[in-house]
Amino acid sequence: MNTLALEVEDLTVAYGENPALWDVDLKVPKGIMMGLIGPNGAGKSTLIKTVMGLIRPAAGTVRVFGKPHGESQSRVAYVPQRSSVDWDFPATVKDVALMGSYGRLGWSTRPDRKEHKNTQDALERVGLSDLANRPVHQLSGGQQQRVFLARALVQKADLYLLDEPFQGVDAATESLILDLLRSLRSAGGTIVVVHHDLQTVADRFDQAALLKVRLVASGPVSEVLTTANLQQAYGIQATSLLAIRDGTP
Amino acid sequence: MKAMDGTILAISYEINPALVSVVLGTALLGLATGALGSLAVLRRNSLLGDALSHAAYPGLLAGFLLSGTKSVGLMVLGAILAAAMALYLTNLLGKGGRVRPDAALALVMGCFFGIAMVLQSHLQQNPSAAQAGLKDYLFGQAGLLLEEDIPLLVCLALLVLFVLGWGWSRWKIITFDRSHALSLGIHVPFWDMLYSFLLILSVVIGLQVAGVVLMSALLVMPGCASRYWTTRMSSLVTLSGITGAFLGIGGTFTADELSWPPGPTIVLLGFIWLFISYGAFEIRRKKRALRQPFSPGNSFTPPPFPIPGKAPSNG
Repeated sequence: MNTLALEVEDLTVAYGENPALWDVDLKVPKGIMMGLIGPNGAGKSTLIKTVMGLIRPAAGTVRVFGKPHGESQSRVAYVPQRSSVDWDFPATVKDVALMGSYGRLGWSTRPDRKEHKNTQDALERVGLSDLANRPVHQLSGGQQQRVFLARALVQKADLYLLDEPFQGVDAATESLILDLLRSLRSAGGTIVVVHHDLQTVADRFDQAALLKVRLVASGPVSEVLTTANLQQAYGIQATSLLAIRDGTP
Repeated sequence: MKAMDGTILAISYEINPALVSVVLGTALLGLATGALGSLAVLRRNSLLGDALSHAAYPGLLAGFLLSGTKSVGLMVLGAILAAAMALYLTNLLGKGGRVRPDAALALVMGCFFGIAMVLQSHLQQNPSAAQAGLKDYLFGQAGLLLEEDIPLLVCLALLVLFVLGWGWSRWKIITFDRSHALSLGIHVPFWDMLYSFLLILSVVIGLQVAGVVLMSALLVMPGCASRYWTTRMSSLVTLSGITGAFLGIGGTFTADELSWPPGPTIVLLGFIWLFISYGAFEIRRKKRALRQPFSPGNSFTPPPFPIPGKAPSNG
């Protein structure tokens, strides 16, 4: 039986002449929460987008639940960065969350009562059921992030890939997202999160993968966030990052 | 209010039968371009229609040059091919990274229109060209819409409405978040192609009515005006179609009353409507702001507790 949710082998992705990812091998076991960390330009978002099939790799393979991407697409939900869309769009909170069901629908079928119920439940879980009919352009940053999360919940996936969900959200949303991700994990889901804040990695994630175009290390957080690994990924900044980690000024 | 008076007057007088096909034609074209153009507005791609209409013109002229007479079929085919080629070039140039998509549009639009001017100067020595009324396509001549043009416009409007309604969920999700649509396995390139096809078709058919220059206004104005009235995409597209149709009807009657050319009158009327929509929106917004100074969506909610020594974000 396959115990891996995601398996990336020899993955190389290039934008023009510059490699964004170089020969990356990564295994994500089922039922864990993994933090994907690394400096800017390390290829964290690129890795997620490649797994989702949004970017074509130059070389390498991606297998989701043991199958190539196209065959297991319906089991993966992608939560892009909040800033990747224009929120000044004529739609309500419910409209956007309902879009999570569109992958299951045919070209011309409308969401039925069951999908509407799913959406209502998802909005409830992210604490937005009161705002279901609010136009999305009136939402705060944290609320936008929650709408995206509700949309992913509607997809009822087994693997969730989130691109910086904690970026620029208020503390209440941050803890809500964290609780939600944990409950998804207890229900058997696998979660991969692009994350920036090194200090919170150990609290939040079971495993971590440290990227800097190449994969520096992956596995349990304590094994990944070592002095040598951080030095390799962040270079000169590493001393200050380590000071933060160790709690010394 | 002159426009309103004109409309009522024209109806109360006996209606010129030639005017009926012009009114019907502009209304149908307005319906199709209004609905379709609202999607372009949402996609932040409003200039695409402008580029396509400029690019279609040399194709039209080339069609005439090849056939030597005013063969509508060949001219329309030429226009469609030229517009499609322009679209392809725009995408190709924009993809490289060095030329931004807006610059690519400007480049291709200018280049194709340049070709058109060269062709036109060549055609001016040809006496049959003047008779064929090729200049009408440059500035539009809605007055020349005949009864036999109506079935084509009916087909266009039905096709646009059908395709928009049929794939509604797809149009919606792709317009809002392309990468999410792709991640769900939706075949986004197909829908993009379909959209470009409809846009090119409307532009080419609309050239005779609105002309190269005014075509983009016909596409963009209803969508822009409707954004002031609604916050749902479905009502936006519906309202834009209706607005386009009404602008066609109102503009044609007004033009007839004032002996103005119909195309420009439609566009001017559209601008007035846009201005009214903007004014109404601002008034509503001010009123709402007075009623509830802090709506939850706009207010800043401070975090419930101080966050202890948050690490600087590493990027």
